[in-house]
Amino acid sequence: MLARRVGWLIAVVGVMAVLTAGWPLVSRAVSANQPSAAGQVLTIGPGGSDSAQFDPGPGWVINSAISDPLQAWRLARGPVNVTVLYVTLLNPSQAGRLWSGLGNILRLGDPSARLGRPVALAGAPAGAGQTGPVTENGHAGQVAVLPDAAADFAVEVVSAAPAGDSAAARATTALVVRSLRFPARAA
Amino acid sequence: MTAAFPPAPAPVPAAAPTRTGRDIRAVQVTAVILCLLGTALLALEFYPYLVVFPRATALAVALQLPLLLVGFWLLRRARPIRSPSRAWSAAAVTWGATAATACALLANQGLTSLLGKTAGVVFASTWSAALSAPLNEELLKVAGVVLIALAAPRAIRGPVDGMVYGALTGLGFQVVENVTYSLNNIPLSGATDPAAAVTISAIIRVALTGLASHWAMSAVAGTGVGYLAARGPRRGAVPAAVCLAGAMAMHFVFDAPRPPITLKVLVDFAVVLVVYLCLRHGYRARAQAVLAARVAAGSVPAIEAPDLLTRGRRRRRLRRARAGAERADVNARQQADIEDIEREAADQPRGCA
Repeated sequence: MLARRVGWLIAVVGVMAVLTAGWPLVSRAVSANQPSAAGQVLTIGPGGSDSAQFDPGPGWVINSAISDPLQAWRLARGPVNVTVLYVTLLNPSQAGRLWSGLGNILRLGDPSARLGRPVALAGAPAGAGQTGPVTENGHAGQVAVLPDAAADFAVEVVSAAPAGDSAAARATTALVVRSLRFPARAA
Repeated sequence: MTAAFPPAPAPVPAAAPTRTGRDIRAVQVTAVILCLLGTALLALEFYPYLVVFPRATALAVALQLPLLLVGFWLLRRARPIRSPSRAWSAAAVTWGATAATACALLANQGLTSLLGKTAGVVFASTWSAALSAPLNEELLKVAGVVLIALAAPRAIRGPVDGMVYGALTGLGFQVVENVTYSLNNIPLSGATDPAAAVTISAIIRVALTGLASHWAMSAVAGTGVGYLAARGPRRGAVPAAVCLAGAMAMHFVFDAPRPPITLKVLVDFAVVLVVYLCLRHGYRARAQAVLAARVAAGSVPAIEAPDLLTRGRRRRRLRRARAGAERADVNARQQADIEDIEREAADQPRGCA
């Protein structure tokens, strides 16, 4: 029998506290900023023909705490934050809903996030992309959605900065979109 | 009492039961507070989904209800001789669904981000689930089984009880985790069809991986708590540690990038099945032996013995008794006899248990 109940109780609560608060505290003590090398090409997606590559250019810092090459890269340079998302389309016919879907995804993180009217993305790799403005909580920027040729997946780029720096955010989205490569298309 | 149990306690002052009661109350209150905190944290975390995708969120919850209900019935039914207390079974599920899940959410985020910062994002993407979940989640789930053993000493007397309560704790965790995975699948699929994203995730996690997910791992970890409860810290520590390590190993296999998921599920299911069959065989054999000894001693009538150790036969015996006082008397006798038999059969070195 576990006779010393209070001792066991303290041990159980202690272990829970160490795991629940300990790991986040230790993680906070380590910097998440990982400078990206000049010319570093980042791959997003599970790999092979179901992935895409992009080159954000020099001077970016990768947030290594929340970046995941399978799903999302999160980078920052000065006041500009850019997120590059990989989304799997359940059905190719759903590519047309990517814009409204992205609006809802952004609202999960920030209820004030709003997407403006989308326009066709000039010079997009497949010619099927859309781009438009985004505003959220005092920040403004540009988003773009780019499905791959078979519409099996899509890459979504979201750049935002404080309102005074929104031009830099818009330029960032354009830069990332221009650098995007879908290996399956090149083959 | 047998050698498997600690020696009978020496006479204690009258104040001792009060202190025990106070300690049990402290365990219960702490567990309730932790469950409430866990519920609040989960609500905070997933409230945005309820706002942005209300129908899909309701669907994600609804799709897990059959698993919860069927799992609850099956796992309680898996205990030999009689099912565990309904209230403590519900407490185990609640712990897994609230306190354990919420704490695991924070712990896993912390360890995953630490791995990303120190070992690189590619390594973290491949291995963070396999390295963080077995450690964090198995400890947090089994904590609930320990709390039940502390709060209700009669509920967990041996490894069979620990296994059943562990499985129920894992079931609660599994159900809520399935809901969170379903919700997370909405943005992962571009939020283009939230209902389909939720449904696909639920089907995979119930029909495919559900066969040997958290319920199976926690069943093995909980078995260790049963050994600890039956044998005390000195004799129970080693089997408890082996069971916990086994559960962590099962979880590691489950979350590792290879082999294919179907093979991983089969391996984990085979492990929990073998452990269960061994424990069940040993437990039933011990119960039969105890019953035979009681019949020989005349404390259980020979005519009632064949009906005692299975649910169906006990029910049939009750139906044969005349409704009213006779049936109530038979029922009371059955319960008292089973209580005595189970106390003695909880854990002895016989069979493969």
